[in-house]
Amino acid sequence: MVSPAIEVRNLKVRISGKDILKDVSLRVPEATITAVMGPSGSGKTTFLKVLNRLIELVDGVEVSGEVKVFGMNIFDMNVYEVRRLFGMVFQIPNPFPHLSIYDNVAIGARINNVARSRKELDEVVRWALEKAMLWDEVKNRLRDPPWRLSGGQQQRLCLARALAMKPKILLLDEPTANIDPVNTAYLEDALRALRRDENVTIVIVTHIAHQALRVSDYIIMFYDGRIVEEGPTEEIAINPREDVTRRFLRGEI
Amino acid sequence: MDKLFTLLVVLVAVLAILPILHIIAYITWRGLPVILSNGLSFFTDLPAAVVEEKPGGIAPALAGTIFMTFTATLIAVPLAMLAAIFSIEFPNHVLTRAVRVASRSLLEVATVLIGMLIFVLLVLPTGRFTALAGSLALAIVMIPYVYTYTELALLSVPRTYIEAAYSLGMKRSQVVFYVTVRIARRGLARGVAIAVTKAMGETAPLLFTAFGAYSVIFGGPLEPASALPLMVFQFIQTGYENWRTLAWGGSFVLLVLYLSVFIIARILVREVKY
Repeated sequence: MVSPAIEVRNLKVRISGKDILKDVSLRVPEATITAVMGPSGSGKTTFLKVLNRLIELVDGVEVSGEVKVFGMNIFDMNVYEVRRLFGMVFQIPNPFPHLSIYDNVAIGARINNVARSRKELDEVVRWALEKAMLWDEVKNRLRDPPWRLSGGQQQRLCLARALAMKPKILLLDEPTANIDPVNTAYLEDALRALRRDENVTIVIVTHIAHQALRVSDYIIMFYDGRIVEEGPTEEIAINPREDVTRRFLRGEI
Repeated sequence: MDKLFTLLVVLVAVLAILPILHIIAYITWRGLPVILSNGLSFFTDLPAAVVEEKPGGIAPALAGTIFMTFTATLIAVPLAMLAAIFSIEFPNHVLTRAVRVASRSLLEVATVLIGMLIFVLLVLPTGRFTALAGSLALAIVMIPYVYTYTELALLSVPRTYIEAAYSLGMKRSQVVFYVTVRIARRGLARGVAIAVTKAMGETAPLLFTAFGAYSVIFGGPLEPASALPLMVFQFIQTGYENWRTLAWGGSFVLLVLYLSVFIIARILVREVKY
């Protein structure tokens, strides 16, 4: 097995007294695409938001356990440093409405000091938009506000915004739940290329079994706040061990 | 039945805006001719003596309104906005609860009492009515409006943008000033505009603070001053025809200022679409 980018041990999360994650342990290998799948309410999104400590924005949340990213315990680190290791794409496309297409991408780079000059910034923005497979569609209207783009384009803009931080790990929370099949295909292609060409480690949360099978190298199956099954995607696709996984793959839950 | 209902609603709506239309029309009818017949001197002259035929001008009131509204805005807006940002960022803090209660009560307090407060705190100890005392009273009038509208505007920023900002590694202050405040900018501008017009239109808090002064255009921050509504209030109840004329003209100017504040706010601050 490749060395782990993320290592989670005995992770438990309670929100307002309710157990959301119950003792989760797992390893995510570097430069792979790992799909976290499971039905709604199984704790997938919570798990994702623990990784970059975004969960701490929620009131009344208690986290215990250990999360290591490239060997560093994230709970010992400065919270902003932790978040800068990750790029994140959310379920609903959320490009900043007050910024132009260009600035939406540039802001991540600026905050994280990725570019030192205007020229470098231009290059980072172009690189990120190309990697998100959006460059050709927006290169002549970088000053436009994001609402002029379609939902799918907006989501790819959000991917570009995350990429401009030059993150080691990319987190995606059901990124295609609100966009059309063509844009979904674009996004999935972009993810595969990122893993292959840029060695980005990708964790994608999805409740669509087919998506998990299409894009991922590894699958982690969540159910009711626990991991019920994990392994290489082909194995799980062909021969799931658990009944819950089988039912999920058949679309029954 | 449907048509009858529609008719009824329209009728009630018309009834509701009739008083406003009446005010606008009547003030224009009485005030506009005053300005037209006196020209520029209406804005630049002192009020004429009561024995004269001509009304003179509203310069002291105009200068006072500009000075006091401007300084009150300078005091109130940063204070109230920072307080609102604090409330949003620390919703459960003791200070937040205190500020909310204080702001809500201030909205309800008769503004004449705010004038009394400054009178007791500033005018009595220093022994003089001053424009600055008026500014302070107006600032206190403005604070709860700016605070309430700012808080509402910030709360209406969708959570998902704030999460996205944090996910980029932004610090709390960066999230507030690069994202939340910018997305809410229209709401903030609306709050400021409402507070400014409120301050411009207030008479009561100035009665015991700025007091009114008509012998010079503007004596300075530490001298008594007038303001448009104060002048209207003081002149309209005199028996002098030329002063009453000034009051009508002043009312019209106030009306125009009112509308222009909102229009300027709309032009200066574009709405953020999402």
